[in-house]
Amino acid sequence: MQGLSCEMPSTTPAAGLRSVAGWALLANVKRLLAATLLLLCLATLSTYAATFTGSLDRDTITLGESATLSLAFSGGTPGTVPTPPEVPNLQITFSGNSQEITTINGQFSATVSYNFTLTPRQPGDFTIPAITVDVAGQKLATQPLQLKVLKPSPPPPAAIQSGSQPAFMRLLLPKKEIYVGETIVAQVQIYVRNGLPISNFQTTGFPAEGFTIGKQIEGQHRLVQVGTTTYAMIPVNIALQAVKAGSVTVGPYTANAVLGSRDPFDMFFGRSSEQKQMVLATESQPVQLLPLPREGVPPEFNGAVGTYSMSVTAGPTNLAVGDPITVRVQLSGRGWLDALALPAQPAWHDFNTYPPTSKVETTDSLGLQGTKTFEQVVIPQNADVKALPPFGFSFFDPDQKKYRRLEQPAIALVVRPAGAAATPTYLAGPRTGSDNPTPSQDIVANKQRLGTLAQIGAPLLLQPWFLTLQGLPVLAFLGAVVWRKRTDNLANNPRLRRRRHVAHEIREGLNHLRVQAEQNNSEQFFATLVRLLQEQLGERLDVPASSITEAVIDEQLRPRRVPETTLAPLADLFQKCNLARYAPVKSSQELTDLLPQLEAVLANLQEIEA
Amino acid sequence: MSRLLQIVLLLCACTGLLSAQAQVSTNPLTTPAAPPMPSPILSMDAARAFDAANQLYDAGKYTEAAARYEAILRSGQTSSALYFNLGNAWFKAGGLGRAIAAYRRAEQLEPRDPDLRANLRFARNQVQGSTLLPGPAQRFLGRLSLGEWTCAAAGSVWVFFALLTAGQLRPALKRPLRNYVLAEALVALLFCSALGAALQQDRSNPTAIVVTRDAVVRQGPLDESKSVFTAHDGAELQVLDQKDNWLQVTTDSQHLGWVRRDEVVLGNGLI
Repeated sequence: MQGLSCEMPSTTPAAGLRSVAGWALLANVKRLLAATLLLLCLATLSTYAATFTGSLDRDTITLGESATLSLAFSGGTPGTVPTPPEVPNLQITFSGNSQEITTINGQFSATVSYNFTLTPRQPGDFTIPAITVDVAGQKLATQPLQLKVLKPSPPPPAAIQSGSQPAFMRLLLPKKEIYVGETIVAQVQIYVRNGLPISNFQTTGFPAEGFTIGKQIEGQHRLVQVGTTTYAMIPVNIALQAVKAGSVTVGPYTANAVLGSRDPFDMFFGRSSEQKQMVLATESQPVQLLPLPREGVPPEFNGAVGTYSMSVTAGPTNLAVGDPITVRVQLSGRGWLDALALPAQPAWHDFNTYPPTSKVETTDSLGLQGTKTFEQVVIPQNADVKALPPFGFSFFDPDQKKYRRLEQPAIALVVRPAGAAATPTYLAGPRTGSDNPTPSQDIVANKQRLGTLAQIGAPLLLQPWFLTLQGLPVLAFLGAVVWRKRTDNLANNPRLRRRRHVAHEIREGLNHLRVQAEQNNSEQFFATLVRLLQEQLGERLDVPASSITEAVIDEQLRPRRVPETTLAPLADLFQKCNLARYAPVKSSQELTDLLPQLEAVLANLQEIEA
Repeated sequence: MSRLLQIVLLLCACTGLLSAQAQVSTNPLTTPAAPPMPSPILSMDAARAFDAANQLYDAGKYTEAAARYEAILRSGQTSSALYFNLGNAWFKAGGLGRAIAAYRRAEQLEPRDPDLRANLRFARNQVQGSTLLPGPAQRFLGRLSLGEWTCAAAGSVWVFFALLTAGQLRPALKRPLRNYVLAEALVALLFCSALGAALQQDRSNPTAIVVTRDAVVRQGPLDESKSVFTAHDGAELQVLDQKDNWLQVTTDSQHLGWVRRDEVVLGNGLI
């Protein structure tokens, strides 16, 4: 007999790994060949009766492994993917299909297989019932299939010593008797035959009843000799905290891993390359979890277990009633630091206490060693307080198997009376003598006064009046800048300054003239009148005012082509002033009548170009 | 003079930007709520209603007390003590998220109240899972309320312009005042910057606080979207976007997703 078979690549995700160009080319050629053969044999397929068989790739597996169920059809295929029945605690997922074409003595036959992955959730015997499908109107059924799932177990010591095991694990516990609240570090040692690659390591279970499992940290790899074989040992440290008393079992620690490599270049060049999935398991370890002793429990013990030291600081120590003091408590050592809490301090009854804040700084990767720092604000209530009472902290030391108490001496305080009564602060809930609530256990209670009420509305920054108000300083500054500019311009221009001075003098002088006219003070009147004419002419002609006489009309004003309508009244005024020297007595009315003429002359003189 | 003018222009620009930023806040999440409807609770009666709510609280009727406190708030009256007690009532009633939201509103009014800070810290310590905790910058800006930052910035700007104006009116003072003017300009710039940052934080980076037991944060704004993580009661989330009844939230670069609007309250919104 001569046989030829080829397998069509399935549509499973594994197909995506075949990305090497050569492999892809080879696969395409195979596909083409298979498709051709499939077309050739299609005509002959109808002559065969359809068959349907179900099979498992293996009937016994270990929990954590998977088996493959294949439903093979020959001589016909169902319209849809067949659906296996549900089996309790057995996950069945479709993983793809494949086609196989076989020729035997020139006769073609084609088989289509639908593959399912079976993943058990617990050990035991599973029965996959018969599966019935309809192929071209023909009812076909498989036989029921049996799958045995074994509990993971470590290999026997003899197998380990002989070196036949490619990989195995061990679980180590530092002690067998552990106190509730105590922390230990369990170590899982993973042994892999030296040079054998390991990948896809996944923990599938670590039953540890009575423990809280903390961080898992991988340690430094090293080579060890087991029997006659060298293994690479990978330690994994796991933090465990005992939480309840009793006899318990820790483990087995189980995991899945893939051993070996699947190098695409090895496959392309035809070199052997093998990968194997393994289920690894450790042995179980019996442990006795002991309750904490009931004798000798310190009063402020609040469940801390481990080995600790303490330092306490407080400040300020010179303050007034109502001022806050920050108490900083540092607990350093080994234990479950996250669970540490400050104990209540009944002796602090003269202080208002606020819930503390805390910060953990660890010095090891598992977080079991380090320092936890608490900061708590306390406020003295009266001026009789002379010291912060001693601070006590108790814990159970599992190494010494007894309770230990740390105490910080009292810290002296100088508390002055406050100018105003401090705002009363209450702790919620009843508070009686020795039954002080732990400060961190509740919120600060309600405020009894409503305080200043405000209307709910837009923030101040969005209020139009506020935004408008912000323009005032800018406007004030800009006004000052303008004023300064004008002042500086005046200071730098003597003619302008004189012009303004003369204008001011004339305004003042005219007022004086009116008064002098009313008082009939002829002599002063004409003296002022002459002075005003001199000031105005002097400013216009840029000469000293004292040098101005009536002669200026002919000497300087006429050459400047000043109109006669200006010069004639001016000359008239000068003449009247000269006459007044000799006949000064004039009536008040006569003096008053001169003022319009003077104002007209001064206005005309201001028109003269400087 | 030219340097002073540059500083003046810079300060004016800062003030203008702040005003513009305050005016054009179009984010629907942060737009101030409409003025409350008139309520029978007058300001004179607010103290009486507050005392009545306190009595309900003392009697252990925390939910009823919270409802009374909220009724006062709906009347348009507000105070730090009111939000503080509301937070306490919600905390006692098991509403951790609403308690944190109320404490945060109280913090905006009286940011340095030690009782308030203690309760807010205590409530935050009760929150499980991922939550957004204030960073150093937010803690610094939180030392003053938005109103206090506004007054500080405005006051420093006024002092700055007063010094400049004095220099213009009395040129002899210009030289002695020059260092003060520069220092005051720096102070005013710092206060204006802090005010801008506080306003940005208050208006543009709203915080959502989970008020249901578990709020599923999903990959998209659909009930069918895959879950990214679950935020628990009291978790504070930064809001990045809004779509229909969903908010895009994050706690850090690893946690980003959409949460239903009715499962959270906004940190600067109504409780």
